Amino acid sequence: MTEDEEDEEPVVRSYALTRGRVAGEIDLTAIVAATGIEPSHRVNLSLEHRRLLALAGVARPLADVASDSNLPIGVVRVLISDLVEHQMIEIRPSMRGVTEGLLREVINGLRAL
Amino acid sequence: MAASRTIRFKVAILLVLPIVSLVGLWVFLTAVTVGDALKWVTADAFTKHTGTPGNDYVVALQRENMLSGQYLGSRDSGDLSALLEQRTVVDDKRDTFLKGATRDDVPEAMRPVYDEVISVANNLRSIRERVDAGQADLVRLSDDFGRLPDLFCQLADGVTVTLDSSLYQQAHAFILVGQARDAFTREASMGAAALAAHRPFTPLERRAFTRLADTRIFLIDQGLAQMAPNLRAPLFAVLHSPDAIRFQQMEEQLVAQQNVSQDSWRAVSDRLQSAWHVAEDGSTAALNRESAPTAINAFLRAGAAGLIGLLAVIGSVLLTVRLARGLSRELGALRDAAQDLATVRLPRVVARLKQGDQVDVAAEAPPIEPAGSTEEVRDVAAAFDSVQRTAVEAAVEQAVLRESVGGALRNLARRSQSLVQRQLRMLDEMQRDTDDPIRLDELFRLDHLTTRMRRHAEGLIVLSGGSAGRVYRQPVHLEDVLRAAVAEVEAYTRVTVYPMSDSAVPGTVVADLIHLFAELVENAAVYSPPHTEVTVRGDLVARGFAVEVEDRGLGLKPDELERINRRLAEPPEFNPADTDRLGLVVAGRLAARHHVQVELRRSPFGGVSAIVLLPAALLVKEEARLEVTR
Repeated sequence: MTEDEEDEEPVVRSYALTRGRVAGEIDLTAIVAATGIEPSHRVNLSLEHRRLLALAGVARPLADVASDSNLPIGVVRVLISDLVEHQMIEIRPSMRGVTEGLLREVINGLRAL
Repeated sequence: MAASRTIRFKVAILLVLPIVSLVGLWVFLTAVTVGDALKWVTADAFTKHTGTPGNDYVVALQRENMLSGQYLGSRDSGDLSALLEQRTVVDDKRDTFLKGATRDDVPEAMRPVYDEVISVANNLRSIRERVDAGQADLVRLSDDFGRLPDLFCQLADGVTVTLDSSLYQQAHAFILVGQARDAFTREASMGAAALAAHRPFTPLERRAFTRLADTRIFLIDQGLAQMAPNLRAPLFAVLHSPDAIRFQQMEEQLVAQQNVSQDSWRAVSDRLQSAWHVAEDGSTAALNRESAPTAINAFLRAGAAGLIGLLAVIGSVLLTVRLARGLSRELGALRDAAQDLATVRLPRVVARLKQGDQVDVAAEAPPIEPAGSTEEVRDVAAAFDSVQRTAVEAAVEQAVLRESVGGALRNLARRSQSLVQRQLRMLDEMQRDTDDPIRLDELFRLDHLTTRMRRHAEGLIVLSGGSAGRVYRQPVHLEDVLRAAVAEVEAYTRVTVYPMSDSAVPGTVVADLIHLFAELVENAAVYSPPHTEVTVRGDLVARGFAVEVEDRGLGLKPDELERINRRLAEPPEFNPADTDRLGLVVAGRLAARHHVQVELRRSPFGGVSAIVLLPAALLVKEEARLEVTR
C-alpha cells in the first residue's frame, strides 16, 4: 500500500515514543536548553531523546524545538520532561508577562546610558 | 499366498511341465524311430557277415550231403574224389562263415540258436568219418546233414526284421522254400545212395524219404503261395520245370519200389539242385533290392521325425520363453511405472501445487506407456492413468480452491488494512493538533488499538499468501523497525528495545520485518508474567544482523521448543483448524520469504529467547545509508 503522494507516516507510532505517557505541563514559550551533563550509563536514551537534546543545544523556545523535531508537541513534552528529569536539559521561565511599558522603560534606560 | 513370488517364477513353473513332457515325448519318439532304423542296420550287417556266408555254407553242405549219399551207395573212387573235392569247398565256406559270423548282429533272443549253429558247424568231422567208413545209415546221415540247414533257417527267420509285415512275409516265404530245398537235397542224397547200392529202401528209409517228399511239397506250396508274383516267377519256373516233374515221378517210383535209373536220378537231381540254387539266388537278390527302399525309408522317417520333432521342441521352447519373458517384462515395466507414479510423480505434482506453481496436468502426469501388447496390462495401465489423472485433478482443484479462498481472505484483509491505515493517519493529525494531555492519552490508546488491528489484518494477509504491503520510500533503521514492532504488541510497555548499532533495511521489506518481530515479541510477552520485562537487543554480526528477543517467562520444554522451531523453519500449509500459536506460523512464513533465520532457545534466565538473523543481503549498504528515514 504505497502512498507516495502523501506524507509518509512515521515508522514508530507516537505512543510508542513516550511508552504511552502524556505527562508534562511545559509552556510552549518556555526556553529549553541543554545543560551539557553527560547521561549516566544506566539511562536508556532513545533516538528521539538524543535528537531533542541536540536541538536544544542552543537555548530556544519549546515550540521551536518541537517544530524542528517534526514530532507532535505532546510527545516532545514527555521526552523533554525525561531529559529534564535526568538533568540534561533545563527549562527557563518564559518571557510571558513582559509588558510594553516595561519594554519602553528598558529602552529609555538604555538611551539614558 | 504363503510367500511372495515373481510373475517370472510363476510363469516358469507353469511352463516347465508342458515343456518337459514335450521333450520327453520327442526323445521317446526319436528313440523308437531311430531304433527301428537301427534294426535295419543290424539286419543288414547280419546278412552281410552271417547270413550270406552261412547260406553259401549251407548250400555247399547240402551238395556234400548229395555227394556223400552217392558215394555211400557206390563206394566208387570217382564219386569219392568228387566228394573229397566238395568237402574242401565246404570247409572253405565254413571257414569263411565262421570268420565272418558276428554274434553281436544277432538279436538277444536268437543268440542260443546262433550258438548252436556255430557248434554244429564245427562238428562235421564225425559225420564224415562215418561216411568214409561206410557205416552211416541213410536216415541218420540225412538227419545229421539236415540239422545245420534247419537251425540256420530258424536263425534267419528270427533275425528277419519285422518292421514291414509284407517284407517279413516275403522273407519267410524264402525261408520256407529254402527248407524245401534242404528236404529236396536230403531226398536226392538218400535216393542216390539206395540206387547206387542197387537196393530198395528199407521200411525205415522209405518212411523218412516219404516224409521228406511230403515236407518238400508242402513247403514249396506254402512258400510259393506267400511270395510276391515277381519273386515267385523264376522259382515257379524251376519247380515246375520238366526236371522237377521228372524228379517227382522218379520219387514216386522209388517209394513204390519200382526200378529207377541211377544215372537219370543223379542227373535230374543235380540239374534241379543247381537250377533251384540259381533261381533262389536271383529271387533273393530281387527281394533285397526291394527291401532297400524300405530301409532307406525307415532311415528317412527316423531322420525326419527326429529333426521335425527337434525343431518343434526348440520352437515351442523358444516361443514359450519369449512369451514368458515378454509377459514378465511388460508386468515389470507396468510395476515400475506405477511405482514411479506413486512415489515420484504424484508427490512432485502435489508439492508444486502446494507451492502455488502453475501445473500443466498433461505434462506432469503423462499417460503410462505400457511396454507390450497384452490387453490386461494395457487395461491396468489405463486404470493407473485414470487414477493419476483424477489424483492430479483433485490436487489442482484443491490448490485452486485454496488459492481462491486465500484470495477472498486477502481481499477482505486488504480493505480492512486500508481503512485502518486511514484511521491511523487521522489519529496522527489529531495527536499533532491537540495540546490537552488527557485527550492525547485517549488518542494514544486509540492509536494503540488501531495499530494492533492493522497488525491482525496484515497477519491475515500473510496467512492467505500475500505480503504486509506497506512500503517506505527510504531505508529504515533496524532500531526503528524493532520499536515499531514493539508498538504493535499489546503489552508494549513491558518491552525494552536497547540501543543498537546503526543498520538499516530497505523500505520494501520494512513492513514484513515489523510484522515478523511483532509476532516474536508478542509471543515473548504473552508467555511471560505481566511484571517481567521483555528485552530486544540487536547487533551487527559477520553474516548479517542478529536480533534477540528474550523473555523472563517459565520457558518451554525441549520437545515443545523443537516443535516450534520446526514450524518456524518449515512453515506448514495454513490450516484453519490449527490456531495454536498462529502468530509463529505467520512469522515462519515471513522469515522464509526473506531468508531470515529464526530460532527459539532456552534463555539463561529460564525464559525463551528468539534469535533472529537477518542475512547481510537484506541490509542496506553503507554508502546508501545517508538517506535514512528518521
